[in-house]
Amino acid sequence: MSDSSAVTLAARRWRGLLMREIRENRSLMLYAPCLLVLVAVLLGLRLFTLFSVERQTAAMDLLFNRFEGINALEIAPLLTSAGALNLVFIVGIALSYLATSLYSDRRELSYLFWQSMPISDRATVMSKVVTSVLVIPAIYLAILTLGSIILFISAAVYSFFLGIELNGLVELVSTLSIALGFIGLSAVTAMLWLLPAVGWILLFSAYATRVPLLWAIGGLVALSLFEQVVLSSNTLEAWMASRSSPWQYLVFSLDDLGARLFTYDMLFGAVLGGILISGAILMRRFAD
Amino acid sequence: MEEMTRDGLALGDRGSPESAIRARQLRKSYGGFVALDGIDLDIPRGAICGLIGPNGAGKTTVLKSLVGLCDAGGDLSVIGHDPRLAREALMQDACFIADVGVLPKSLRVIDVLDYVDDVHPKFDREKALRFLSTTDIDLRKRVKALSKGMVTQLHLALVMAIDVELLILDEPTLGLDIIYRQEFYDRLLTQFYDGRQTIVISTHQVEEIESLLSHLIFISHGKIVFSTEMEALQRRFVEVAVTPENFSLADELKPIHARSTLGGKDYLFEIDDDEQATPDRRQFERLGRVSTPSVADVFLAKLGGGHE
Amino acid sequence: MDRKNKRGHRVTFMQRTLRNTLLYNKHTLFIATVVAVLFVIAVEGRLTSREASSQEFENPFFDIQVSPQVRADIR
Repeated sequence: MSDSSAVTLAARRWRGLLMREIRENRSLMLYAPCLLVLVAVLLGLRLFTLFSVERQTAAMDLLFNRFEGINALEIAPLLTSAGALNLVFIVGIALSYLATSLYSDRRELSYLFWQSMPISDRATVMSKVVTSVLVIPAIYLAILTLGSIILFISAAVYSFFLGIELNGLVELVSTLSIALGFIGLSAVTAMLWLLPAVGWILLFSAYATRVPLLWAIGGLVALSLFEQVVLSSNTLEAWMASRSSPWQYLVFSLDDLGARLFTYDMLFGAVLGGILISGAILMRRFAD
Repeated sequence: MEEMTRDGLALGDRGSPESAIRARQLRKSYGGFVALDGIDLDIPRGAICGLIGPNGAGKTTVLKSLVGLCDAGGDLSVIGHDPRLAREALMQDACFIADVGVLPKSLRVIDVLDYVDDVHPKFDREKALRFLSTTDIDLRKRVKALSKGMVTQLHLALVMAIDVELLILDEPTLGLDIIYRQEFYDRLLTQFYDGRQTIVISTHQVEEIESLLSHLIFISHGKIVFSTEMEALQRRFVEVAVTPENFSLADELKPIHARSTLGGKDYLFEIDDDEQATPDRRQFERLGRVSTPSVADVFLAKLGGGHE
Repeated sequence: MDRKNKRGHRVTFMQRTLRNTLLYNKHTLFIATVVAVLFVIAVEGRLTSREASSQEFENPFFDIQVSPQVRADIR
């Protein structure tokens, strides 16, 4: 087999694996973000209509003219941190996806079909990891971008009717794009930072016979309680707390990204995640 | 051609290159329950082998361990792979249909096709689509919206479009009505099997597949009770419809099983070619009408154990 | 063909040991994995003798936005 055809085969296999995850979890990965963005857009519009036309005009003027001549890179972090709530949604979607990812096929017995395909347990589990770290943030970001475009165009059209000049359009669009891009990068960083949680939930998803997410959380609580009572220390709790603040994930520049990705703590988390993910991979042989 | 053995021995001692499946002392237990209790298998390439046994005999466990879906102990080689170590490589050349409708319920039919097309290098999408066009299956429907018969048809379409060496079917027609069942095996024989592949089918409704089998394995309580080639089975067993006046004569010939019928008894005899002691075929003809027993009769006799 | 390599493989000592211990059943594997992770956390904590705490990243953006006065008020 030539190298290029081996690469093609591997690429097709990965396309199949990732498309499977999207198709099996349409409601969580596609419809839920759509709904969230739609609600946000409607809520924004509703709030907007509460103001008088004068204030609306002033706001639109601010939006479309204040950006003129501004450095998009400098102002983008403002929008990025305003969008920090999206990270909570992305992480929430990813973790609840992971909780059922190695469980639902065992429950509906379709693991007999999946495992009868020439796909190793490792590839199966890794496809879930890649889905949670890359695919879910990417899909969410695409939907968020679409929502932003719709909102942006409606604002522009409305401003046009209010007779507002659109002077800072280029700067505004680039600020928005940069902010959206950094929300996406922040989401990926967050998921990488949470690799121990990804592995922990995958392990329970592969192990539990029912409600894996509850067991995963319960197991963690029980372990830290055990540590507190028996060893009278709170290392585990502190360690978990040290990884759960969402502000750690926000990335405002490429330098930021480097500073977060290549730290000792990130790598150490990846090692722990790796151990747990390996456990989940081996656990697949006990799927029956 | 004497490949007949008893009590868990192999189906002859063919060289391993011709063996599609070779197992020695296959063992598996779930907790305290012993599902497989030292199973030996030798299934030659090109065979259509029936794995017959009552519910809970261990059929599913045998078949699952053949494709690496359950982790049994013992030596195992399936078309040259150890399924426990190389399931991924094995499944390039083998397919498995389980006894329950196991296709992922939330996917659309077309999604399942796309998936197999992407991950299986030996899948022929056009062939599967051609097959599906002869059924009532709507490609855009979700699997959970299909009837059980349709799910089986879909699974068969997928499997038949894959150019494999080994096909493992675990009670594939369980719960299907007679039309689907007949069609399933017809299609399997006419559109899939060309003599190169090895097929292992488990069932507890042996009469349904009797005519297509080349080999037969009886399994009970995790052990192989009896295994044979179909050809040998016909030479080896005779069924005689005996009228009451000949009962005592028939009993003297040591039948392995007897079953009351209207106006007499059907006696089942086993002829062992090697032993001089067993009676000649002509002797049976004096007792009554001689016929070839069905697999189900032999199965009952072997499993029920002896004289009524 | 890879088939020839796969045929007649030997189960190594390592594989046999794993099968009899960690991979004995799903529960042993589960416990082994959890213990391994806790062990690594404990050893790492001992080696680096650090307190588990929130990672502080420098965000110049926040410095601009939140004046020392406001910060002091919050605290």
